[in-house]
Amino acid sequence: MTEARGLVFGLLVGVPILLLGVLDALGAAGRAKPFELVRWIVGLTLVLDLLVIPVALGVGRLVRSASLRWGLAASATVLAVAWPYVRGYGADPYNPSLLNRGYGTGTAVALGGIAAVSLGTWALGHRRVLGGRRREQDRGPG
Amino acid sequence: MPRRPVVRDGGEAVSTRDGTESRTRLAAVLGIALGACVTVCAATGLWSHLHQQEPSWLDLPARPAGLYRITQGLHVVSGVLAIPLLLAKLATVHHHLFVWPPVRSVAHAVERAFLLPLVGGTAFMLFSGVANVAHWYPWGFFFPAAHGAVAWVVVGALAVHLGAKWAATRTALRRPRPPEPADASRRTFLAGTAATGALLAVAFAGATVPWLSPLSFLAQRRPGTGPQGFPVNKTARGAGVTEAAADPGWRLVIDGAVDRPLALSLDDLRALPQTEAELPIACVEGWSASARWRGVAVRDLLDLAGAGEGAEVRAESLQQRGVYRASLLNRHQAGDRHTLVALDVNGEPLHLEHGYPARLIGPGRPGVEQTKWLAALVVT
Repeated sequence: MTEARGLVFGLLVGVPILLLGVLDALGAAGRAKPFELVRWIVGLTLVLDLLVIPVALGVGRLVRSASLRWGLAASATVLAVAWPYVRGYGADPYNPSLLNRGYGTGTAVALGGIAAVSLGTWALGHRRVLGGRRREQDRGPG
Repeated sequence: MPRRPVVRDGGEAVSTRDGTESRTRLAAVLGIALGACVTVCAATGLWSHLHQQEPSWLDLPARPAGLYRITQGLHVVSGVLAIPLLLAKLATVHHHLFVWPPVRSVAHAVERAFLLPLVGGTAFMLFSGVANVAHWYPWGFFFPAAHGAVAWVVVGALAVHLGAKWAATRTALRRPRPPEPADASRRTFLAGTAATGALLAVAFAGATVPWLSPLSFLAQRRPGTGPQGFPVNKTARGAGVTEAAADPGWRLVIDGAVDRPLALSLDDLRALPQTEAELPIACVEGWSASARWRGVAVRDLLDLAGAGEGAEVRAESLQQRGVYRASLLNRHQAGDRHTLVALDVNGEPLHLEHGYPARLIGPGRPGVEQTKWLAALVVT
């Protein structure tokens, strides 16, 4: 299938489905608040494309080790997802069975595990590189 | 002019062409994985939506009893798996954002235009989904309505994107793998993304899979907590039923399309033949907990009231306001032997927070449809 033909096929299938969502939001405008939804969709796109991803790529260029890059990216992702739980935004003092885990401690343990794997992998790779250079020096030129 | 490969001294060849091919292949693999997660999330989300807004032409079965807990658990896990995949995919293709000229043709312009609902819509779905599980609502819209509407937008935009990228993805995957080190770098990136996804999946999966619970540091509930050993979602205070539920004059009204309307007290209900069933409460937020329920089968009450064969029922709560103050039982659900007006749970009378004096419980239903603090069964 060529790209143009594929796009046409995709439009034929996708546009009716997409319009279903638009009509759904407009039909329940009082509850779905479509204009606020559009602001959220555009806003999240801008935050991702103009802030989060550029910062991540920039940090990635400064950090040479793939293990350390992964450690930073994974930690940032886990922390971002965990944040509303750690802060307890949804906790209800009248419902002690809701959001009743030690989210701060659990997240800290998870971040510690990421750091351990990331640093451990980096140290292992670093040792291998140093060991390889030493062996080359021992063999000498020729 | 095509860029020429660059080979550095020392033998570590870094080919620009290999790097580009590696990135194209990486984007293709990430796209497929992300598309698979979004598809699972959308399908399980649709299943949940159909349960809550069942169209009149659909006749959902009541069984299997535990299906909804599985589908909703999958819904949450596939959603959190998609988070690192989306971020990795965006990082891989981010350079396309600044390509010049920004559009090469009408087709290219159309393809790029649909990226906003795809990327922004997916980001919204993942953000709002995680926020909903955290019971955090930093917005003015009703979450189920917004989440459902944007889901259709994302699926539609995904279909357009798949059509536009099908040929390029196939070409990228059919080419021989780039040589090292470009391919090693790609594999490391993929492995790291997969590891982050796995960590997040485990962080939430314990809400549905009990043996993972000790590892699920972001699960919404600790297992076994709450009155009578399982959690509460809507509290009696939150529903505004504390006084009405404790009223000794409470009666369960059965009316509508029946020969003999009834108004049954708690003692009247206890005097009727009781049925026991082990059934889960499975929440839309992905957690579930099983309990042993005891009460009167809805179909026995319908027979007592003289309802017709294949009757459908609207179960109404003492709760006066809210979308979930009533739920519908289709003919399969109303006729199932384990759809109960429950009076007891785990060997004790229902706690107020679990729906005292009576609640609805049935197989395969979302938690929001297991109506608490029953006031009436209206046969439609």
